[in-house]
Amino acid sequence: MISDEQIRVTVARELRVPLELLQPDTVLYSLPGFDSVQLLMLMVALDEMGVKMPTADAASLRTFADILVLERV
Amino acid sequence: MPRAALTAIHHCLPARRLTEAELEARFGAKNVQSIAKLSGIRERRIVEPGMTAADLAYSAADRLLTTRNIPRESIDLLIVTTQTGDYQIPGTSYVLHERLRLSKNCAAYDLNQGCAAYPYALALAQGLFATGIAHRALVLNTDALSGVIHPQDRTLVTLHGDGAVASLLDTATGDEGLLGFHFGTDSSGWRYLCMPASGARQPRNESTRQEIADETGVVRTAEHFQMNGQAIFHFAIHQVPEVVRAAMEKFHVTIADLDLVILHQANRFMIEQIYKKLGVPPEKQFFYLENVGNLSGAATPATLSEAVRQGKVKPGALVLLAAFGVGLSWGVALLRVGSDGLPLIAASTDLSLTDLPNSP
Repeated sequence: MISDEQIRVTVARELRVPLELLQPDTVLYSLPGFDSVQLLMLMVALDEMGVKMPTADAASLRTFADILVLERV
Repeated sequence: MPRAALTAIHHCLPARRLTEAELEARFGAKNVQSIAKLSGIRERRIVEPGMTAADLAYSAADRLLTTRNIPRESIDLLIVTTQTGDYQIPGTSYVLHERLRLSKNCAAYDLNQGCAAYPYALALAQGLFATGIAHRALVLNTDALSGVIHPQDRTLVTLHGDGAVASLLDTATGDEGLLGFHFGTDSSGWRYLCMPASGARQPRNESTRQEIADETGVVRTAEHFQMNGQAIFHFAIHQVPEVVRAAMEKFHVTIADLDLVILHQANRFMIEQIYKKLGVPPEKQFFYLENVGNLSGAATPATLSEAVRQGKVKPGALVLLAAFGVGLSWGVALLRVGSDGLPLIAASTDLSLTDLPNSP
């Protein structure tokens, strides 16, 4: 089972931000240097690690908490 | 049962180029380079003021018919797909029917379809061939989205170009032709690609002209085309491989049987992800977006047309076309090229305003 910490590390790596910036209520767009392209790369990385994301959830992805609640396989 | 076969194809692009340098001045180098790295798009072709999608379609069709010496009265079916027609009423097919001097015995259809337009148009034509209604068809896929994208919407301006493709279909005489189709729709996502104030549901007024910036700094109004990029990207890399696999199973073919797999040219990273999931080897892949952009409903046939121009479509080739987008919709078509191959129509694909003496 994928842990919250594994997800945090992946998100931090793909969005190129320090781990400590990722709190549940962190708005991804507000992160320093945020780039919408990085978000697409993050979606691919999450998919490859086994985080399942329906298209409707992808459409409304906004905060770190939105990622943490996704189903994991 | 009569079957339609593709016997000629030609595409037309506006001569005006929208370069990275122009976009970097508008959006900043970092934003533009970041998007370009993912999209693989370095330059787009967009219409000049006064030029429309119908002009591009006219030019593509006129060159095809003239070069191939096709008698205009021999065409008994015209299908035009566009989301950026000349008028709300009438359909663009009627405008083009007149400009192309087609016969009164030629049926004219408009198909409001986006990026999946080509398989849909081919299937409609195939149905009319099969029922004996049509014997020679002209299919025109054209879009000029640059006119409905807000100039400050960097997520769309950087990706989209304008273009048109003319395809000539004749009755198959051998094993060539349109061999199979597979379609589907996930209408739960229609809002992800939408121009809200563009019809009867939301009439245009002062409020629909208000510019709104979202959290990422993208600016647009309700009168402009809008895309939820995250949703579309997710849809494409998850749904499209499944759809193509289902289509191949239905057609009883595998990747090994195919000579070319052509996908809608939304962005290079997305296409690569789909090719990777399907296991399509590099020699069966083809890209046509780096210097033209995403041509929306014209993208898939333009890619086929360019592959023909580059000699990548051999006589007898088995080609799979997969297109997806607005709706959300998808379509897959399987076609076999005739033993004589597809002819090169014209060296130039460019269109300038001065080339259009006949625009109404």
